[in-house]
Amino acid sequence: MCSCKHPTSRYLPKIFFEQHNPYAPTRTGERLGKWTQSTGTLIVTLQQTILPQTGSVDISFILRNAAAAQASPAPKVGMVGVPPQALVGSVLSSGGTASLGSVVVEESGNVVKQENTLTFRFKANMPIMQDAIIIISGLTGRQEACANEGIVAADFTKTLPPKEIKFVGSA
Amino acid sequence: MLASNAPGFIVKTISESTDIADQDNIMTVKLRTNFLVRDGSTVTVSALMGSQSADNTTFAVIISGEIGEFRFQRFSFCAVILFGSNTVSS
Repeated sequence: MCSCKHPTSRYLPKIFFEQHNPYAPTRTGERLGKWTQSTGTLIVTLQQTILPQTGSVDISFILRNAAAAQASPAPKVGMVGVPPQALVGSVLSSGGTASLGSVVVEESGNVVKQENTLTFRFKANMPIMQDAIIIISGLTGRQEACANEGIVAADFTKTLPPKEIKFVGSA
Repeated sequence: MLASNAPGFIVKTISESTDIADQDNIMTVKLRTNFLVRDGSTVTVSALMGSQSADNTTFAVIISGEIGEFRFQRFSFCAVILFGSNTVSS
């Protein structure tokens, strides 16, 4: 007679190994910090995690430049456990002059009596914020009837998706 | 070997969007550390002197590059031990 017993299996508790996921997605978010003008200090708290060596974080904020040129300050950055260290870079000198460093215009065609799409590309050395007005002038020689606008007798705005262009009428 | 270095910044740069006087200027501080920065850590940027921006306790800051969720890759295995008390009798 066989008196075999079914083997008994026992599972040990699972053993977990954990490591940081270098491919974890990053994200962008808005935080509220504390700005003190007299000391030029910004304090902001991170709400998530930065991985060592590989991960980096960009902290962006808007400051109003000085009304006149000044010597560039020497900003520092620190954290709990990390004494303030000098940041690399020159900022807040307010020594520049507003300009468009690059203006390029292209046209879709040059055939007579045909519509022509003009594309302007600008590169400015200052932010072009919302409500900024870009004036393009000197576009003479166009056939008035081509865009159903008639003669440009006064300033008006024509919306051409997705851009808005302001035409300036002749005086 | 577990050589220990002091916690610090591997990358610590600051840049601006414009150097034009009396204009809003987007400042960007880029940081990379040699240690794991936990959520809730406070970063202090100081000595940004000369700005016209007034004191503000609800100062808008955009932070990018953080890990959305601090996820772990979890590996597991289980050990199986078979207890075979087989006896054969005839």
